[in-house]
Amino acid sequence: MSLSEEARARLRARFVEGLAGRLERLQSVRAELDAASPDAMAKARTLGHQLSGTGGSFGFPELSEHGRALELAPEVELVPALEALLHAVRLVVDQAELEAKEADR
Amino acid sequence: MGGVSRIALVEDNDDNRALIAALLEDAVPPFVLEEYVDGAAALAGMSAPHRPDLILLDISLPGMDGTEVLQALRQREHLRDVPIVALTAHAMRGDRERFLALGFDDYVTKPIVDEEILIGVIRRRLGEPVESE
Repeated sequence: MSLSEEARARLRARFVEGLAGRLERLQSVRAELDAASPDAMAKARTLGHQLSGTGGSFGFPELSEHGRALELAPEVELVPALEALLHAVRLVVDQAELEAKEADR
Repeated sequence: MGGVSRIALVEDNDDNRALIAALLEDAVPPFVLEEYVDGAAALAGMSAPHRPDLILLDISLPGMDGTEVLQALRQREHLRDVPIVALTAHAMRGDRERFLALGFDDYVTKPIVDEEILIGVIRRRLGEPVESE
């Protein structure tokens, strides 16, 4: 028993669609960390945890790995871990936009 | 076990809910799924006498976390022996033992990379045959 390819593709597309919003939240938390906002670190770890538990389910193991690293990062490594996750999410979002443009041609 | 099994899923992440819903819909025989986005909704939805056959419970929930929800569910007489499976992205050494000691019946890690594992755990906990066995 496993998912049909159609169902898998639909779920993956839905996940990717939601990544643009996650990218915005990550960027926002990045700014909050710069501003030393009191709960920025907790927010960063929550975002990391969320991607840790989802990315690999939809074919993006690198998002789970970077999410996990951010969730568990000690304070001094939090910003580099967040940057790494931001970069990985941006790559997926950019690739999806590129594919959408090519499909429109 | 006769009839269609009812599974309650307590999970705040939309993508994971959609994935698990699709998996359970495609299962043969299919399961009936009840979805709850947090512990408060789950506790309200599973008031007596409503009793699902199995509960999948995320650990990291907004508000009450999964272990608190577990304790609240177990205090209810009609839910005391319902199998409850922890869903968690916390994959630390010793977590399985810790969750079982807390009163969960089983434990599945996220991301859900191998869907057969989740379905296998569900079927075993429901006392149904598992395809690979």
